[in-house]
Amino acid sequence: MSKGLIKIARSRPGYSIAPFLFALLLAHSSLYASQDSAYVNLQGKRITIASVFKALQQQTGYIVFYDNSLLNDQEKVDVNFLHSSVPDIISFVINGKDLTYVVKERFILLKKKQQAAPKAGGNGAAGAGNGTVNGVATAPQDFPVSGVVKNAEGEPLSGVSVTLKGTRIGTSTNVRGEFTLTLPTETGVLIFSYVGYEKQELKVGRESKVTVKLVMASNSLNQIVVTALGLRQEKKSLTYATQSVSTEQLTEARELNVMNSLEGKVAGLSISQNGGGVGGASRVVLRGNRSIFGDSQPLYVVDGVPTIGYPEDLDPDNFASINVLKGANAAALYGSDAQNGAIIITTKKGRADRNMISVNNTFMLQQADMGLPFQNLYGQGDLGAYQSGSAYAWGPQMTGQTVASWTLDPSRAGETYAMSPQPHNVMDLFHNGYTISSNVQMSTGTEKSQTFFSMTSTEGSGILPLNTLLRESFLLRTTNKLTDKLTLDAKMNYTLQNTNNPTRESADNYNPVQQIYTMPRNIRTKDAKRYEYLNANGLLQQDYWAPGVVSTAENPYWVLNRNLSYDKLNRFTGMVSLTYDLAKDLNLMVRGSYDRLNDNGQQMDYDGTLVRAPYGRYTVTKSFTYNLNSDFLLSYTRKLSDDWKFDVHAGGNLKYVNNDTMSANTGVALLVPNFFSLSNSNLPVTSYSPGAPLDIQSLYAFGNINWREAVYLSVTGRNDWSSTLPANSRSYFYPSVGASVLLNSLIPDFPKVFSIAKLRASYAKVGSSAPPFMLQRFATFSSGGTNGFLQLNGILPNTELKPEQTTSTEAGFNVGFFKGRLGLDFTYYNTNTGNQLFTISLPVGSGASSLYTNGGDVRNRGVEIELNTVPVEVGHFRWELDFNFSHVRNTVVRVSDQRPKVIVANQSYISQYVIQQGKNFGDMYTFGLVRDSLGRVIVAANGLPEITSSQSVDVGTYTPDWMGGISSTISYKNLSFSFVIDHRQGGVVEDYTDANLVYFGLSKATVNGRNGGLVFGQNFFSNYKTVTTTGKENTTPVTAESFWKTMGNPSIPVGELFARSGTNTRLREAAISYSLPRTFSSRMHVANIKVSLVGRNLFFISRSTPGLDPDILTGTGTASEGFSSFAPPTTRSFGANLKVDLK
Amino acid sequence: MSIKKYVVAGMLPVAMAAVLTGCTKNFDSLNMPQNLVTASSINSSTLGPSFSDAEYYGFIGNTGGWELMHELHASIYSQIFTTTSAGFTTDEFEENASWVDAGWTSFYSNPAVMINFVKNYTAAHNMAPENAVAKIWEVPIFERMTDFFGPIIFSQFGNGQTSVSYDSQESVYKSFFSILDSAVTVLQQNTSAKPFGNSDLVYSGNVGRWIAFANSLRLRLAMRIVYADATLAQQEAEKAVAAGTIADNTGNALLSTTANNLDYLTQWTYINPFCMSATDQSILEGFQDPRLTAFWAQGGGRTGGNMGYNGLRNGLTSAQRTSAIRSGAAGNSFVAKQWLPLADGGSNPYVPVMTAAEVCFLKAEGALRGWNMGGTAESFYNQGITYSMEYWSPSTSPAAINAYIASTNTPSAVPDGIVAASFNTPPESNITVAYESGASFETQLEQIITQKWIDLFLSPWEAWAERRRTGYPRGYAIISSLNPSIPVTSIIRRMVYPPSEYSNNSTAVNAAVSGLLNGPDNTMTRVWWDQKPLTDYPDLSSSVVP
Repeated sequence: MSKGLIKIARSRPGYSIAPFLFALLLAHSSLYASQDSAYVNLQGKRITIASVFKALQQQTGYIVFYDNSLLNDQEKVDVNFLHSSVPDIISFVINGKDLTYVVKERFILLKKKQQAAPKAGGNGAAGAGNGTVNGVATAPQDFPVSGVVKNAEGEPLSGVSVTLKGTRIGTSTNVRGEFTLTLPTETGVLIFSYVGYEKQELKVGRESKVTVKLVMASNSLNQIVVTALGLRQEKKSLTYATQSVSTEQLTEARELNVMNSLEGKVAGLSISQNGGGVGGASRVVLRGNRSIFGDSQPLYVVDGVPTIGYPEDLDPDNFASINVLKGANAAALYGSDAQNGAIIITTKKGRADRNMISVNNTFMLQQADMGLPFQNLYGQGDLGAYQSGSAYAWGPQMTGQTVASWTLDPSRAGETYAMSPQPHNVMDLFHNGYTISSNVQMSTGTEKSQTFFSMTSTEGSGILPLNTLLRESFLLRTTNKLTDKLTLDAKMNYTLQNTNNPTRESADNYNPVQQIYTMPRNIRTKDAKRYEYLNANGLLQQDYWAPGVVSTAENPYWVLNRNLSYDKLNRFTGMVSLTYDLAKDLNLMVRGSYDRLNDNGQQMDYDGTLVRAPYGRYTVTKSFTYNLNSDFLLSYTRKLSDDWKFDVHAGGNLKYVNNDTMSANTGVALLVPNFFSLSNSNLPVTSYSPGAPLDIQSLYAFGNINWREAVYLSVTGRNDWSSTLPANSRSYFYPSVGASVLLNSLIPDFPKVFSIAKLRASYAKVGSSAPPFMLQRFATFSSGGTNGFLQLNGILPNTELKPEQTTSTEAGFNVGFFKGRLGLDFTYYNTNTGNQLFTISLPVGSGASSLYTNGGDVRNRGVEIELNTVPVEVGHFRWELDFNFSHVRNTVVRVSDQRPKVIVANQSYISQYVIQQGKNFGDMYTFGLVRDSLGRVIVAANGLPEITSSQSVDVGTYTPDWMGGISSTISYKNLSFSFVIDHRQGGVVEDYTDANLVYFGLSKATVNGRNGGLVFGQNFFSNYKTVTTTGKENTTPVTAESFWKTMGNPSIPVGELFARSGTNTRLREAAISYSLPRTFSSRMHVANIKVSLVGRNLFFISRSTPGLDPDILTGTGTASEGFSSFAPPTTRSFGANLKVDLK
Repeated sequence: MSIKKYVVAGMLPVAMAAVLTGCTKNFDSLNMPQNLVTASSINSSTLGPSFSDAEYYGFIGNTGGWELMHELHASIYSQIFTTTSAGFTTDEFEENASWVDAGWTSFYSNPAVMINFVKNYTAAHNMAPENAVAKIWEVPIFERMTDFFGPIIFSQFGNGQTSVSYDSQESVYKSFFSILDSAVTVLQQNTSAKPFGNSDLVYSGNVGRWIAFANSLRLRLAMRIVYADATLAQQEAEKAVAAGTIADNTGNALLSTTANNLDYLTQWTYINPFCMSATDQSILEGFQDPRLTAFWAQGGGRTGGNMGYNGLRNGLTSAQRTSAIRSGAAGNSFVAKQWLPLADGGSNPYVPVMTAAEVCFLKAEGALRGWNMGGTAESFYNQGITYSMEYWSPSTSPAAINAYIASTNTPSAVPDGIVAASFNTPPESNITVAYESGASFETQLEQIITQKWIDLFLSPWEAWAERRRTGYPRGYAIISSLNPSIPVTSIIRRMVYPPSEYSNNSTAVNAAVSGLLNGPDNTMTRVWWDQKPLTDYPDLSSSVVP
């Protein structure tokens, strides 16, 4: 590295030092108005040469450039110039030195005399003068070189930095990728560098015209990543772990909820879908659960602005990049919302260089993959006897015998049919779902103004009939250089999404999945599909085999067709950002954004809906959520010397969030049956909530400094003021600090085999405020009586609330070998989230049901490993193979002084989700079998094992022991093949579906022992050691019916028997894509045509529990983890994608 | 110039900071919900709705209070109603912890909170008459809780702590007596006051009526404990009568209803999973009681038909509780039209809290026991029937009432037929309507309690308590018991403590079970006042289905 340093003698105001500026300015000819009468008056004794130059510049505008290896500008001289010319002064200064100079416009470059080149000095220009010089320097001798820089696809790259090696002479390419540079010497080596691309050196000679092709950086450490507040940083400089995901895959193997596409690709990221069908939400957790009250999900940031937390309606076509900031360290600057990490999405912008139109079409087909083990031997009834009105399958063996029909239809009274197994009656409910998506993108722009427009139309259908989705999404973005100094970036995004009949989850009258799973094995699809009949009053009523037998059961086809719901979502996001260059290295960004979500829903329940709405009901809900963000950021970047660079930033943010909701329904009975209008009711019920506003105001500052791009140090600090905390604690500050060292840059003779060797460590604190309205106890007015009712709510306020605090430490290293062919990234982290805000349940006899409190300390400790390899790269053939691995343990260090245990939820009485001191976060407790001191199961006199009186058995946590993924891409010329395999090891799921299936006699497990003879611990559950209450061996036989009805009883299931391992390995994604040869596409007058065939969630390579997909939960809250209840079958999807880029 | 820019830039954060600190001024108002009031801002003008809330939800409540607690337990254990929903297994003696939990929580998290709040507020603000009325109202609503569970949270209620200890039923009852003492004393000094005005949904602030109601409650409580502490029972009963009880139907404690606070039956008859029991049919049909048509509709559909009055046995198996029965298509009787939803022509009647008739039957029993009630058992018995008839069946003429009182009708056998099963349903008893003053003590008691049971049609928790206390009316064995350790001939004795108490208040509930309950926490442990020897209870084995 050259020690040479060009100094510019005192810049003009507003034109600060930038090494490559010189060349750039030389290229322009009219930057300064002419100052013809350039005469100088300057007198002084023992002043420095530097101050001579300074005076020269102040009086004439001439700027002197020189390399300080040529001239010591601290040398003291005596001067006495009166009305002297510029050449007089320059000649005086270089007198006696082996220097000459050239003048171009208002710039004066001092350089070494060129002995061998008489031309160089010019005609009498600057010889060894004696203090007086007559002529002004003539045009200097220079060696122009020009060229063009392109990428691998032959597209020009603008903004590529071109510098002459060993100097700071340089320029950058224009929008056409072109550059011109004037070299002071005849030959030299040019260095081409561009973010995200490999640096390239090229030897050039005189009058060179060069074409340079830059290749994308294969070493991920050269990546540029978008970090907090939209800052683009080189990945190698980061002091914490992040991982970016290719956005191309998101639109090829499309998921309606884009987050699902990240499964298996990011170490430490866990994604679980809910059972809501097409367009449903997902639960996303980074580095484990930590929040007792909150949901531990990350913050989503789009173009630097935190969004309302709904990622599922975002359009992946518009994504330019996704970067996952895994922990508090990375996300500290986002404050309160980022203690669970952040997912940073950057949307596309228009390009300056050319017009572009691109069309992308995807078709995906979803297929239900049923794994539940239904039995196909026994029909409807109890105790082996057929009953047409039974909800159970404990009836007789199905042999085609003639039985009475279950229909309630009076016109079909007395019908019979031959009872035989209906092995497909469950799957008959489902059909193939699909997603069709078309995206058109247009980009156009000049150097000053660029526009990007994108429109996506998506149509989808779930695997349940009538569950459909239509989404239209528009994005318009414009970036404008309003003046040389002022840049505008503005964006409008509008999404309209209509969802019909999203599937209700879990054990619910309205969940057709529950209804179909629990259908007896003899019910014929064609009979079940006759789900209604005309009663004596001429009203359509539900026809169902067992009305009222189970309080949540109905005919699945009735639920599907007669309990209809529609959801209409309108989302608008607007953002305007202005950046003003106060100076070359100082700029100010001011930004405002508005994110608004309107959600309107309605539900129509027909007359005859059992239990919930026997006389019909119509419900309308509306919610309005908005998020206002305004922020500013002042950034200053400075290179102190060749060795030291730093940047500092200061900013502030105002955030205001609110949502109000309104709902109304017709009450218990519609006046006119099946006419759905709110006025069709005597007793409409309405409710309105004006919402819970939240105002957080913040100031922050952060800075980075690096030494020789080898040692990096970052510091951040943020102070928040939150409207939800008491006055004395509403202001809170939190800092972070991180450092990284690139050993390969630091140590001169570091082995060349390493392309990188980096160590990093960081420490962060993040504060977080409380939900609104926790500081006072409130009372609610409601109608009734003479003067209304007033009711105190059940939560005791806490006026001493403090902000939550997450303290996170992480350390790691990256090593890369063989020019990036092999890379390893290792991270260890430890996060403690303390002072947590949560409610603890009080006994209701205390006069309140819960109390807000600060407390708790949850520790997440884990490792993440990424291994990236390129095993083969020969010619056009390239094989990439990447692995990721993560392990986390979430430990509850402390809960609260008042209570060492908090029950977060009790899911269907099969899983109590518990936060308990000293245990894993979210250990699940359930009913189990009673054991003696020797661990033997105690069997009662009736032959059934005794069941614990409460949910006292700990079956463990949903959090897996570890998760891993393998992704690979094999490419040859235009053809590439890629796949993702992911693995989940361990973690427990309570399978409520299974409990129901055995209870109703539907699963294969219930086939044995229908006539009795099952001796628990002997020929049945023989791996259990048992003892009777009298200390004897158990020999009492039971029937399958009495055993399973007791163990699977949906109101008190013995969850110990239904705790399943979530271990599974699956082929998450596979894609093959082909770009048509350029010769072909150009004949078609298009730039590029790419065809892909993709598959998602193709199959389980192995799973420890058949029929259970541990990734499908009921809901997205914390307590939904580890609980599976009537989830729809796993779906696999296949599809094709066609992308055409027009020029 | 350049310096200026830097200064300006540097000022920005400072300026922002200044703006921010200014902006936090509205934080307090922002953090206040627009649609709620703070507890601290409740004043005398909003106190009325607070008391109304305690009155309505204390006595009727919502799903948790009424449906899950009373309808699904008391109404079927009293054998006034039978459930026809196949999923409602409490009638087959199966415990349902989540229903009890909802009931317990619904009581303690709303009416108990509000009555406590009103009591404390009025005490702190020297509102003596209001304070006295609030204390009186506390008695019937907590009485129901202790009758359901035995030991309950009472004296420590509202301590705001993570553990709240229980009181024994004996001490709760004794507290009731002293609360009534002090409240009545205060009201007697404030007879012209109108506490809570028309926000009082029972008496609209009529102090005299509240005093009579308080004394009547004392009489009820006294009688309830007669098998546990006969001396105290007599003492309190005589004191109550001497002080003046509800004299006639104009003094009845009736909770008023509106379209926005419905009578409890009216809330649920759109589903109507509750219908007439065989016990009802045997007694009312056998007695040829005019109240039969006041209480019940003829079978033939949810809103009534013309298939006659048909009751169902309690504890049918879920298969027997088929939808045909539930929809009434099988001919079983649902409640009469006045309790149907407004849309179906219901009238949403007032809800009796305590009636003059009940007071008469209490006095009759007192007189039977030889206490000084100011009259004979027979006279009070007859007066009670008259008041009950006038209240429930006002169209019945005085002559018809007298004829009824004099009749020697006895309960009838109930025919099988509604469900296709052979039930063995003999006459429920052989007592007559006419008072048999010469009969045995138990027969006279059975007559009094049976007539009181008829009057308690809308207070099934009282009817269940009396059935537990005395064994009357006899009722029938249930058809099927899902609990192998509880025979079909049993009466459920209490409700078990809800799981939420075991998870949120475990120390206290365990202490209550081991120290105060006098038995395991199950449905067969008898509460403190339930001390009549089991051998004195009627034998129901004659109605067991073979």
